[in-house]
Amino acid sequence: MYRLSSHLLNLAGRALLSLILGGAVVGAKPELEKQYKEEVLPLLVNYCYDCHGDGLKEGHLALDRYKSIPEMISDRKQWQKIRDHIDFRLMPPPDEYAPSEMDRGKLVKWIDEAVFPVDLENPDPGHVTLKRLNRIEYQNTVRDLLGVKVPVEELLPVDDSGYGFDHIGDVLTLSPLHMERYLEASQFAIGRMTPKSVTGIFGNREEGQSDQEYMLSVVQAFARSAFRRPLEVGEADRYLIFLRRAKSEGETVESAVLQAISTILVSPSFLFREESVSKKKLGSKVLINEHALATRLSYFLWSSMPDAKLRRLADRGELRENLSSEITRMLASPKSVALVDNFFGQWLQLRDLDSVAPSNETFPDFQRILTGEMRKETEFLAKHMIDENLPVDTLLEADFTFLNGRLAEHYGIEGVEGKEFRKVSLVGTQRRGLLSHGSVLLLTSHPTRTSPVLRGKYVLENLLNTPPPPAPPNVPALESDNNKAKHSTSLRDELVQHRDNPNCASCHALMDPIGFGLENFDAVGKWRSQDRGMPIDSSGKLVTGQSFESAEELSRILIQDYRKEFHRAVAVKLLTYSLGRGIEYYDRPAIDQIVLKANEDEARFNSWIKAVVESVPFQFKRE
Amino acid sequence: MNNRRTFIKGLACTLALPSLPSLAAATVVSRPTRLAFVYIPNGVNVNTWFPKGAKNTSEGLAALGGLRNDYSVLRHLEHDKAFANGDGAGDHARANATFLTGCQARKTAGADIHLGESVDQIIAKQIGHKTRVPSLELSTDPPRRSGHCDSGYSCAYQYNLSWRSESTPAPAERDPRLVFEKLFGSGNPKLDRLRRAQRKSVLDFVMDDAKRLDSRLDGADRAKMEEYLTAVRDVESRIENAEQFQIEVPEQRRPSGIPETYKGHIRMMYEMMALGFQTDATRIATFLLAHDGSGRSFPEIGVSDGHHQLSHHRGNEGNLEQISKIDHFYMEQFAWFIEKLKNTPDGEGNLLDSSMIVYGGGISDGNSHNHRDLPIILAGHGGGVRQGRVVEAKEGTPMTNLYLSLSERMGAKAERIGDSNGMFEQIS
Repeated sequence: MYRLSSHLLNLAGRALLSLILGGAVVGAKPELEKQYKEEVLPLLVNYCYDCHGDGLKEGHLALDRYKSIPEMISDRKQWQKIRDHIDFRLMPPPDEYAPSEMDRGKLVKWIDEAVFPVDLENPDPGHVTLKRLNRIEYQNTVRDLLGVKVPVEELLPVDDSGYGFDHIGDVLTLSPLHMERYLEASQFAIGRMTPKSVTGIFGNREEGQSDQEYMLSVVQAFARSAFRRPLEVGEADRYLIFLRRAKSEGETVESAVLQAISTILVSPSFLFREESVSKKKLGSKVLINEHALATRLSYFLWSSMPDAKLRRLADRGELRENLSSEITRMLASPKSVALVDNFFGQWLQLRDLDSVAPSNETFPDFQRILTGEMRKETEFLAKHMIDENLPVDTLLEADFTFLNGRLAEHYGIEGVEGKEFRKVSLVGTQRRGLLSHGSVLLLTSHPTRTSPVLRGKYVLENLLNTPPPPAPPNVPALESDNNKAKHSTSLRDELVQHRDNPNCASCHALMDPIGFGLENFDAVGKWRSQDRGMPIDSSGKLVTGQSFESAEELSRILIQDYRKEFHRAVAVKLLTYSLGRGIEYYDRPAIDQIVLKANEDEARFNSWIKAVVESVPFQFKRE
Repeated sequence: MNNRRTFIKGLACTLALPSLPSLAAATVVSRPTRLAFVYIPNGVNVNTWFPKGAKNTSEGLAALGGLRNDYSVLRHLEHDKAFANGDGAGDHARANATFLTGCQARKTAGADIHLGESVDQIIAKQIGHKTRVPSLELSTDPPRRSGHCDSGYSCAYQYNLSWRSESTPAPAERDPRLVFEKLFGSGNPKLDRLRRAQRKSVLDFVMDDAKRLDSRLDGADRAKMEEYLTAVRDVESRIENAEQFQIEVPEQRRPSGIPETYKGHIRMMYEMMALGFQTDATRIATFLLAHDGSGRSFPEIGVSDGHHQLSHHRGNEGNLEQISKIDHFYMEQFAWFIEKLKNTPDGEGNLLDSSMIVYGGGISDGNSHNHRDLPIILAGHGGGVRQGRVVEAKEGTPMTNLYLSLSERMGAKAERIGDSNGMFEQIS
């Protein structure tokens, strides 16, 4: 019954909220209504109504259904799609009249302002749902607390993911299986503490200290680190129950402390990141307090708890004024490798390489070990960018990479020998940046052949922040290589057929050319000049009009003409990762700010991190 | 009256409604009924998998050859909620999510996951207290890496079969060693006892922590604490069950870890299910062979393309042949499991006599992502199920009607499961 009534209350609350929001907007924007009638509607009539108006509703969309801005706002999901289809040039389809770039921009701008209005004076920081530590964060945190590496892959259930990352508060649920395993993991950790960590935790017992005083001081210090905040009054005292019990059973104070520690490691205050606020209010948002800030920062850059320095600064309330130098210090720490593993590993999908297996029959010479080394190549590039504070554009345009002998040989690059990876110049080769890394090329291929579609999709989705909508249901994918009889047509010809279908055309016009540009790289990342006995044609034309003849030219176009999109992608991915929630329309000002600030310093990596940390959603909570 | 009905209908995917406790006196049954669900991804080669006539045999079912009287093929059961119904692409995520819940997955990459309680969990909540472990959730899917999933659906939908509530999946275990430990303990009863006592005191303590934290939270954050509290209570009752039901540990069958081959892994998981049933350590299990959309290749049987890619066969004979090979591979392992149950004594008969095993997937023909006429086998003679047939359901019969009938045979009552609209009594 409790659940039932709270469910109803929830519904009522939502309805009320939408009334308030809707109401506020109606009153505020008469000029937008006017602009709609005079400028926007004529464009829609001209370019869209042939299929989506006047009684026509292709794809179940009738644009003339929406009579006013509030009606559009009440169907934001649909309008997000409409907006993106216009912005990403998916609509109108290639064979229809299309608006000029200026009109396209006008439409998008109007939709943003009318349907997705943001209050620049008082931006909404959004809500980060109470986050459980994911497996990796748990592992790192226990490492920093006890010096023990818990085998989380074996012990803890897999974390589900959303928005491309596996530490999203809303998605990280907690089942009884989790609870059982946390109990087990905490026992595991206690049992394997090193003498050094034992000394660190138990400290030196002062002379004359009673068992109770001693236990309190140890628990106090440990829980302060584990809970990432100062303890509440009386909070440590509760753990004395273990001392009383130990004494009655003839056990020592040390065993009571261990019992307390193993309990702390299962406590919700340890497993979840509670974020308290400061007293500072700004409009309808509140600044998170310094302990919460230290915690956000350290899980962002280290995937672990704040260290002693961060704790000290937060205790004194001095973290905010030292943010910049702290970020520099943290990025220089070996712990920032977490950004490579977890941020770049998921953003660029490098982690998926473990499950990529090129066909043995098609690529008999391909050694399994290469997939791991390709992953390392990209990780080294990311790490180099962090360490040297290089512009993020390096990812796309680097004329150097990191190779060892085996990988260099695979690429056909001479003069690199041995197992160790080292920086290698790519000048004089056809390779530039990420898109020529074996990792990405492998990830975006099928076991037996390349996939221009997957490659195009990868670039759009991950690097340009313009995810193409998924294929409509019931559309078959291209044939695989099994049908040997069909080999008279090239893959490109097959894809052209694919694009002849109007249902597929608009998206594939977006994805395929990018993939064509990369066709000189085969499904295992090797350079090739022929496929199926025919010369490779790596030319293409993007929907925005630029033509290219090779992968190198494609890369140059991406970095010159699509820098803005790439930078937005970086901002969106970093903000998603740093907060652990999906990015919403109300985050637009924050994204704009981050891109702007980072570019003030040549888009160097540190400046992105600083801009994210200074952003409203990172610093504030809803009131 | 009418209003109330629609109201309750609307809630079907939010909560399962248990009916009044049965008036029949609880009698000690020597052979309890067991229930398991095994999931195959990406559909099947429908041309070879389905029987052509009234006999329950086909090329695709050949591996079950010697067991013809122990299973039936159920035709025309469907999962309407796995279709887009306005949500666009994402059939693999939906097929997986809907399979045991019969509910439409809310399309979200994470912010507001909403599905429904799965049939196994509905039953486990009602009868799970009768065994050491209320239910087993197993999987042989490889560990997940980055979080990119099907068409805007959070990965939670595509990788979890069992759901404890509309927003909380029950994650599956893939290490048979840990499954064994969960069923039978560490092998050292004294240590296990100590551990249980220690755990109880920890749980007691953190329960208090959670309540204090809860009082400082609101909204979605409270739901997280509610999840935590539920988990604590659940583990507490599991500890009590473990104390109450002492079982002799089949120590010689303790696995050492995850077997290297896929086949070995699958069989080991089936073995754990059989063991759980045999010792009555549990009566309910779900087994995700691989998540829907899985791109696994099968070099051990000469299939080098990914399963998902092949499943979009476009009528190509070569692709269809490869799919048949995969179908056969999965069926062989299943036959091995059914055989095993049949060879395991249980009371006066064998374990298969008291089991009901559902084997199938949420997609029929992978090429078109069809969710009607799903490939479904019901094996075992538990609950008075009649086997050796092809059972033709009326077209449009929800898969969940079958679940409702199975639930009743397990002694659990639900007024409705997902989109069910009645019982499916043709199985008897």
